[in-house]
Amino acid sequence: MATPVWLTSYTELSSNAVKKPSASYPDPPAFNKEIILNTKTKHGKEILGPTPEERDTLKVKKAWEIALAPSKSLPMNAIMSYFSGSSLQIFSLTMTFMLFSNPVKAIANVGPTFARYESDSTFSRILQTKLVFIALQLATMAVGVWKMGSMGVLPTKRSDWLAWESETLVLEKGVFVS
Amino acid sequence: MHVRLLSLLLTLTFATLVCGLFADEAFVVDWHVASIGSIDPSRAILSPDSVAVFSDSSVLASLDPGNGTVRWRYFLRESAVPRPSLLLKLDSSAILLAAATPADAAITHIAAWIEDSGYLIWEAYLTGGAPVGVSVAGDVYILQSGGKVRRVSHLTGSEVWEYSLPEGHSPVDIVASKGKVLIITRKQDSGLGYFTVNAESGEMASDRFVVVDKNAAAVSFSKSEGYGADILSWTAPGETSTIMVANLSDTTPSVHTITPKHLYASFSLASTSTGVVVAFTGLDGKSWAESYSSSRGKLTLVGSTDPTESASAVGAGKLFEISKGSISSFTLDSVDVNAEGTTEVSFPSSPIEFVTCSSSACLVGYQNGEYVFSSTTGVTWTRDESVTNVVSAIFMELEEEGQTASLGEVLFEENAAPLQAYIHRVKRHWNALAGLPQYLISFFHRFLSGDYDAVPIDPNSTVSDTFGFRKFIVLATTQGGLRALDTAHAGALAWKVDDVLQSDTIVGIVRSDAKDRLFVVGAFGSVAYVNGVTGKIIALSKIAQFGLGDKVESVITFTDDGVQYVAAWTAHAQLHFLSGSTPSKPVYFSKATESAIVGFIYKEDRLIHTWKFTLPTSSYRITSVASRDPDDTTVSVGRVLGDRSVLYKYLNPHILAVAAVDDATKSAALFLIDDVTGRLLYSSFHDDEVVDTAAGVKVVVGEHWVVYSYWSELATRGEKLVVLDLYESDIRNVRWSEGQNFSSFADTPLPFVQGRGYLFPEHITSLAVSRSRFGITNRDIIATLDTAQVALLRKRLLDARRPINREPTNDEKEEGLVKYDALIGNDKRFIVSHVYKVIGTEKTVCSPAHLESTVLVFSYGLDLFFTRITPSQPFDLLSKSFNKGQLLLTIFALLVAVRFTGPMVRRKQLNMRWGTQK
Repeated sequence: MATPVWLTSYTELSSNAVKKPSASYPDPPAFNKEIILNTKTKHGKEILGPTPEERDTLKVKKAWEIALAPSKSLPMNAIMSYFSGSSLQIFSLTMTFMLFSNPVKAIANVGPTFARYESDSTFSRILQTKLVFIALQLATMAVGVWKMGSMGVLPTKRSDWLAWESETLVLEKGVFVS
Repeated sequence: MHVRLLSLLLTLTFATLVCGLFADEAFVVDWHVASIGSIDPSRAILSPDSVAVFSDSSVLASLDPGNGTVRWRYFLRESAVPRPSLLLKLDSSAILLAAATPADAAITHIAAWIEDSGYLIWEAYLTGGAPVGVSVAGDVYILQSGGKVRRVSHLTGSEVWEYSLPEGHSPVDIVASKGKVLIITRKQDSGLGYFTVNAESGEMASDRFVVVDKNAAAVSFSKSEGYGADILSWTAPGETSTIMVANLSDTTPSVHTITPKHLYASFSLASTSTGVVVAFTGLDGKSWAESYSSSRGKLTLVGSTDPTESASAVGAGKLFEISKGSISSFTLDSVDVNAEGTTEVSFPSSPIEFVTCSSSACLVGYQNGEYVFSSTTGVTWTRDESVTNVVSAIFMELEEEGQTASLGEVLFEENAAPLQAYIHRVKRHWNALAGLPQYLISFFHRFLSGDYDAVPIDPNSTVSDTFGFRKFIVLATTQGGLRALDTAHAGALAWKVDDVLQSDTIVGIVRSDAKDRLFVVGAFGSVAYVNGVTGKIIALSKIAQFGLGDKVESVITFTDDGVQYVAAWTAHAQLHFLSGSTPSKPVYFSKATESAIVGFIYKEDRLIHTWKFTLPTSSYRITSVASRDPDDTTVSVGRVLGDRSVLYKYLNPHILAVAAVDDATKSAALFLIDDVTGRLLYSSFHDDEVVDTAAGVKVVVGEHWVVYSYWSELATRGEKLVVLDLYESDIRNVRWSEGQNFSSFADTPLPFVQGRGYLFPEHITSLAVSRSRFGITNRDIIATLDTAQVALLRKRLLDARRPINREPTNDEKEEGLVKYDALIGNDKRFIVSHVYKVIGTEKTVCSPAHLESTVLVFSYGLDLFFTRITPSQPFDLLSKSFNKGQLLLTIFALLVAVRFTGPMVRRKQLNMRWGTQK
């Protein structure tokens, strides 16, 4: 006995198996096959799933999207840092802290973030995206460093090292007899 | 509206720069001793309800005869000099002071004061010379050195008449009574005599100069008036066996000669109702009294006392004799000197300088500066005025409680064998347990009150308090004594020693390297080694190889290579080291003379003159020289600017600031020189001003800055305060001294000096710089003012970097700079002496407390004033208003909350794990 159609349609997930019954029984009333599938079937092509290559390309594309995401927030961070001023307030302090903590977290989680898109074939391309991602996170941190600099908490000036400068040793002993 | 806004802004800006004293600190942290100065018996009036005094320090005061406190006093430095001056009673309720003025000795200032209240009744300035004699008979009759005689109304002080002495007479004294005025003069060839002038008209009553003693070419003269007859007494020069006496109350005064029983050194004569009584001090120092009765033109000896080791004086109708341990009184009548009674009294052991008596009590002056007011029943009060003549003042550190016992033991434990040390330590701790209950009680007491002063220190102990606010201030007096005052007990006398150097005058006191030891050095080479905490003299010696006729000029102390040296500098430019060793390395000394600074090098035990810095013209004279406090420490070598760059401080410890004035051109100048080489580092001249050269220039040297002040009339009248900030370079971040040793002999660049002048409305009499323990706290300037106040001037306000004519930029604001304003107003918040009238202070010394924020300040001169200042706010001390109770309650409430919520949270977490609760 031949396999019943319902069984095939339940067990076989290949497109061929799904496609087949369409010929065997009529479409429901008012179902316009042309409308539903016209983009693909206009030229009479059969709708097929993406090839592994296409899928990889898609994954890499997605990975690039994630990798470039920090670049979108970068200008905003920079602008906010600039406008929040150089005073030491809770707002600007929290923001500066985020500018360091978020990138650090992101870099630490770079593996899991990109794990979904990773496969043997895409390894090298995904690595590029990872590196770009890390670079952008570092750029965010750079904004943080700049912000700290503008707040004056980086020891970049002479006065920051003044405490380590010692008094000059005086060779002679002078005594004023009052 | 704008004005109000502006003033609000100004208040806010200056709020950080100015910090006054809090009301609850006044009278707690500070104290003041009001003094009157040395009393002269000729300028003291003893009456039953007052003791009026015009002291050697120009203080006119009235003392309460009951307890010796000052009822009122005026500091008459501007209007009256003590010599020559006369103080006498105007009537029963008023006193009269006639004195030459300080500005012009040919002008007499005469003023009448109500004795009870100190109110001025009237005053007048009379030309014609200094006062020679004053007599009160209703109105005031005054004889002046220029030969003028004036009658002045006792009600208004206006002149009634004026009489000029004929040529060739030098005025001696004046006696007014019964409608006539006797003017006693000396004429070149006629001798001692008098004129008689009609008291009403001021015209000569008789045209005759009545000569009383032809031979009295030069006489020592004394006058006695008031109680009995007006008696004139004199002696011939060099005479020690007779006294000449004339009774001026007689219509034709006759001259009597008194020949006392023994030769005398000095005498005082008083008239009685029947004659005269003379108190003698013999050549051997013993004193006796003789009473004479006048009858039928003759003076007859009626009674006398035996010469004793005592001092005697005559009050109104009574004779008093004061010896070391007793006071005796004698009544005087026409028959005899009768002993009335003797009371055993413990008087100071110092030799008596003078005794002056009223009818019931005596004021006794002692050579150590103490004054005792004693009646025949005993001492009523004692005043110690020696603290008004201070040569030098020094702070003595006190040990903290328990520390003295431990120090030696800790050293033992460090050096002994381990087991022995261990046993020793256990024993020590066991012994220390005895003090535990006391410690716990005081701990909780202090903890609950939040006040470290709550546990009072025993005034008799010699321990420091927790914060080092308690120290002893040791004063060396011109009378040769030492006085130690307790800073924590309102300047109470901790100990005193009289005549430390055995009749040598003290030149200076310095601390020795042992913490509580002092060297006291006298002018003739006496050295006393004294325990500064107990006042015990440990050793008394003479400087070895002290030059004949040499005199110690100053005592110096310095530390070189961790060794402290104490040395005495003599007039012959000799240096005597007192602390044993002499420095092995060359030491450079500099000394100021009237118009030059002279440099010396001390090497191989020899002092060699090296250089001399002379002022530009000979008309300049040096008024003050200042160097940096050698104990002052520097924490930061640079000044941080608003843009976080650094200006490096010029920290040459050899800087000597020399202030000079030119009396001819009324100008002032300041020179900064190196005291090792004499090199001129900086100079500034104030030629276009009219400087008060008599007041001189006051100068202090802080860390890397110099502040000096002088009074000038131009361009704006006031005290000019000039601040000079010294930097290594005007270029930021440049430090040429980096990584090398500083030598004055090297060709180092001159300092970059930034200066600003400020104007202060009051006369400043002295300047001093505060010094904290570690030098982190700001250094502020303590100025004593002639308004009888002590002011604290903020160095931050006296900044040489304040921007002129523009608002400060953001960077400058960050530096704490405000717009330059030349006038430093006399802000009441500057005044740390608040309501105290601190008169006559001439010098201020500072000492750090244990707390970094706090500096102890002591001003002396005439009055004594002590306070604590916090130049950078009391940052290491909780304020008294801090609510400790609330803090404790909050902590307690939190503990309770944790105790209750803890189990609840635990239960919830457990339930969540079991899934019985969402």
